Amino acid sequence: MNISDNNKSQPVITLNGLTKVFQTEEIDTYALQNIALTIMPGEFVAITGPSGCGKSTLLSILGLLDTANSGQYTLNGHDVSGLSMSELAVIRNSEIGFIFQAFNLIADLSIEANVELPLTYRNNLSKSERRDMVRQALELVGMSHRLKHYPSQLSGGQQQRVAVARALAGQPRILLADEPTGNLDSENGKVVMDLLNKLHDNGSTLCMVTHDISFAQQADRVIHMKDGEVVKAANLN
Amino acid sequence: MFSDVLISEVLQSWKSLLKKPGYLGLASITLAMGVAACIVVFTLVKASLFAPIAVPQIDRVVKLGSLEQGDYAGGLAPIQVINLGKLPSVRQVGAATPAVSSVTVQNADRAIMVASWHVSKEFLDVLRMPMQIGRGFNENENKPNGPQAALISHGYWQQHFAGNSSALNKSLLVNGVSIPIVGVLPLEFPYKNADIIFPLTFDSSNTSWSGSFNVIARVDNNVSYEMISSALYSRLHSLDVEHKRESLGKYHHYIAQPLESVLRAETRTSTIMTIFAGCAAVLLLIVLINLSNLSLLRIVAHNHDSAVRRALGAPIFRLLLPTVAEQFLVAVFGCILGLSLAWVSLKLANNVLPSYWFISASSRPEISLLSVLFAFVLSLFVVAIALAFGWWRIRFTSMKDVLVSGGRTGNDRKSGKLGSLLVTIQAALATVLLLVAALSARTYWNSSQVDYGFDGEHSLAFHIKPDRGTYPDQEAVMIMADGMVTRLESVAGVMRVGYGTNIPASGTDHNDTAPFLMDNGSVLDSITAYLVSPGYFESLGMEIQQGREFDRGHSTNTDTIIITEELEKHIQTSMLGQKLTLPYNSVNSAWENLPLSIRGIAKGVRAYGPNRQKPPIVWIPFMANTEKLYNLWRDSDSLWFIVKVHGDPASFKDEVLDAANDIAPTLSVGRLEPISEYQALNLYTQRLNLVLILVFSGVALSLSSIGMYSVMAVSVAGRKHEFGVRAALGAKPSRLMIDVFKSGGISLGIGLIVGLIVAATVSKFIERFLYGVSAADPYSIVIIVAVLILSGLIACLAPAMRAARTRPMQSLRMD
Repeated sequence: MNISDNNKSQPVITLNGLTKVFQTEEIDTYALQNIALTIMPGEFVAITGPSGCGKSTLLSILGLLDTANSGQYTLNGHDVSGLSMSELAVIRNSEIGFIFQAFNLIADLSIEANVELPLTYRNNLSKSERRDMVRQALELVGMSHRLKHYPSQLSGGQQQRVAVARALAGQPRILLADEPTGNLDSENGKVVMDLLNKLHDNGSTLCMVTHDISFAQQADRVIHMKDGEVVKAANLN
Repeated sequence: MFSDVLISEVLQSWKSLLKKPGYLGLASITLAMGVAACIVVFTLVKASLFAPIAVPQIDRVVKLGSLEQGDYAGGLAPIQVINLGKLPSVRQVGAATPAVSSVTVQNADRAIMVASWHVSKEFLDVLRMPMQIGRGFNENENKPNGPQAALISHGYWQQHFAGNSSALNKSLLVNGVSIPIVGVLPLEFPYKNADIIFPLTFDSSNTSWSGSFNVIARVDNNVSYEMISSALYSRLHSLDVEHKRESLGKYHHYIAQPLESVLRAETRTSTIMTIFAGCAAVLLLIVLINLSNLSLLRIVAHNHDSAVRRALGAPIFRLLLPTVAEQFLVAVFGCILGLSLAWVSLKLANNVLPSYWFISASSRPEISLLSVLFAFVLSLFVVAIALAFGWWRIRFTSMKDVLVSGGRTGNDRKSGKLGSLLVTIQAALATVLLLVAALSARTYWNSSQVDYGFDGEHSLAFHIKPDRGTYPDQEAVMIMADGMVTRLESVAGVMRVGYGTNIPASGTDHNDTAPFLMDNGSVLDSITAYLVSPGYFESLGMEIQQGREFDRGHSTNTDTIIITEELEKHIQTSMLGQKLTLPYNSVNSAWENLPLSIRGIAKGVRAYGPNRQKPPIVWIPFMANTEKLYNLWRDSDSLWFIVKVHGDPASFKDEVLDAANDIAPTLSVGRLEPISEYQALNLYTQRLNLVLILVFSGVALSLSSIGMYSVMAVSVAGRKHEFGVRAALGAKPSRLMIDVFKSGGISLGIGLIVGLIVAATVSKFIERFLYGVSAADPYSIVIIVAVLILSGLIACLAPAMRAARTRPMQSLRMD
């Protein structure tokens, strides 16, 4: 499935009436209720809210790591609800870059191999093309000198920069970041945020979940969630 | 372009696997054990039970005989063979002596004892097997008093003539007579016990009812075995009636049985092969469960990697590729290791297992193409298991949770439950095998502790075969034997010497039975009878319970016998002083019956081995007036000497051999061994079976322990955070250890109970192989419970210690 349309006036993401329920034997918990959201190309959206408000669940659904129980999710104008596992995998690989709080680098792979990994899932890239894309991405995050190192040899901040490089190496339509500074000290957190801002300045679309108000305020728009619902949305720029 | 990515990913998987080779080692060894066990057992089963018999059109060859006891036809007496005549639909009938017997062959430098057999020309004709070289017997050689001729076995030809065809121009000096070799039997000849075969001839005037000759026949193509049986019964029953055999209880059922089934039954391996096949099947099941467990744990360990790859958009094929690559390496290593192990085991088996286990010399167990194919398929199955589990994990695991936690979630509930279930099943299967092993061990122990009814601890025995040339009659044999006794008793340290036609536990029970008539006219049929000299009882340490032993001088023993208490119990009346009559005229009507007075009653002996009942026995003095009986037996039986000594009997071997050579220089001495060695040999098969079953159960136990260790290790790793919380809340290290042991103990306990229930349901099958112990033997059950608990403790120990060492802060920092 190809959903890559370069229509700048068309939203990258549109959510309508999105609901996610976690069902247990005893009780149904509504993690998301009737969410409506639009993210335009080049926009930087921050999602905030207290723990358990559903912001990470929302990001997982946006990143096609999870599915909603009801509602409509349109990515680049195409409804992605009801797609097969394989179709979702193709979209995740080509359209979405994900940055996790826990970095999620693969310990057995070198930095270069970690960043290259999503590119190897595309069948249309030669080895030299992949290598160029990896180098560019690592240069962008200032980690090109650590190509042959392994994740365990890097600090937390460096690991997150590599994770950012991996997310953007495939030139995705949108970058999704789930508490990207959550596991970092303030100094390293600032470095990562500067990096995300730089990407945004270069035209990338970003959606970030964060607890940190100061980082959220660097976004174009802040969406505040509570108990699975969007309670407030504010345009900052 | 795409292939380099795949190759790189495969290489990366192998690199990771080899970096920490524990999993590769465990999984490969587990697979290798399964491959080797199955190949070895099924190769043995094939070679022993299903190897083709090289007799052309064997389905047309039958064994003719009487059905006295058991499921298979026995033999026929000479008078019956001669009177068979022309049976309808039977093309040809051939006969052979009941069993092999020893002959002395004088080689250039020494005399050797060789197993010989007498078969008729027609016997070989019925088999229709071409000789390796030379020919079978001709018409002249097949006649009474015809020219001498001998066939030698393929093995004897190889050993003594280096497989040279010049053997045909040579003669064998057998019992002092030169006999030309006319042919060499083919390698595939199904009767393997004899190395030299002589012609068997029946004088048409032979009306002897003594002997149980092997009779085979080739029948027409379209005739059923039932029809032949019916014709045989009709013919031989008429003969029984004509000779009034009912007075000796000799009305038998006569049948024709397919030779193939008779030959296969004679290998006596179907029972033990069934046990082995059962053990191998259980072991294979354990191996597959263990491999599934290991595979599942490996996939769980890769959970984080897999989730990251999925998040980055890897297609399912690429998600499974690392797992498939790893399992492929396991499969290759396991397959090669398993085949190597099987090859070595089969080589060992070829040297250790008795030749009678295998139906023909060329059917020795070897690795076959089918074995390699089996190993390949089993190895592929390992990859398939991993694929199935991998797909299951991808389909049903939430990658979101794994990614949020950064891969620290460990084992999930579903995988943990499945792992525990697999451990439980393994424990149950191991319980069944361990119970079989424990019961086999108890059976072996009971057998080894059996009282044979005599004390041979300080005795040694040997046998010789007096030839008719040098020792034409019983008197000549007695003079030589008495001379041997005198010579041996002159050796310092020798206390007493006796001789007889057999000794208990010799392992030979050819034809040592005779009918006896009681005073009241009733018949005691097929009573084991030995001709023995004075000193026989004393040298064997046998106890006379009533009456007295034979006197030292032969003359006062005339017309007296000693019987066992079993015979007295059988008759249910006091026998001392009564008479039994040897009905010679039932064997040959021209002979006189011989009345014998019972002078003593001896304690019973286990003449046929430790696990068989004590037979009723009659000991008859080795006297001139028992020559007719001796003549019936001397061709098939040897003369056995028992030498009781002071001290270690093995240390007297050289002196005994010197004495034997002094007295009978032309005769070869056979099996010069302490009596204890004879008794040990009776347990050889049982010991061998026990060893093999112990190997199976040992492997099963090891594999179960490996499975349990793997599950517990992964479980502890997955519960690190939980243990951290518990430790932070004040749980002592010992308490954390107990938690791990408890968790393992539940799986083990359930498996143990299930295993015992399964064992109880198959106990009827097991009980057939036991001696002196029941399938529900409490000692065996206690032993296996103890062994399983111990192995469970060992398997859980390392994971439990790891749990006990959990540092709260380190674990909680993960939050």
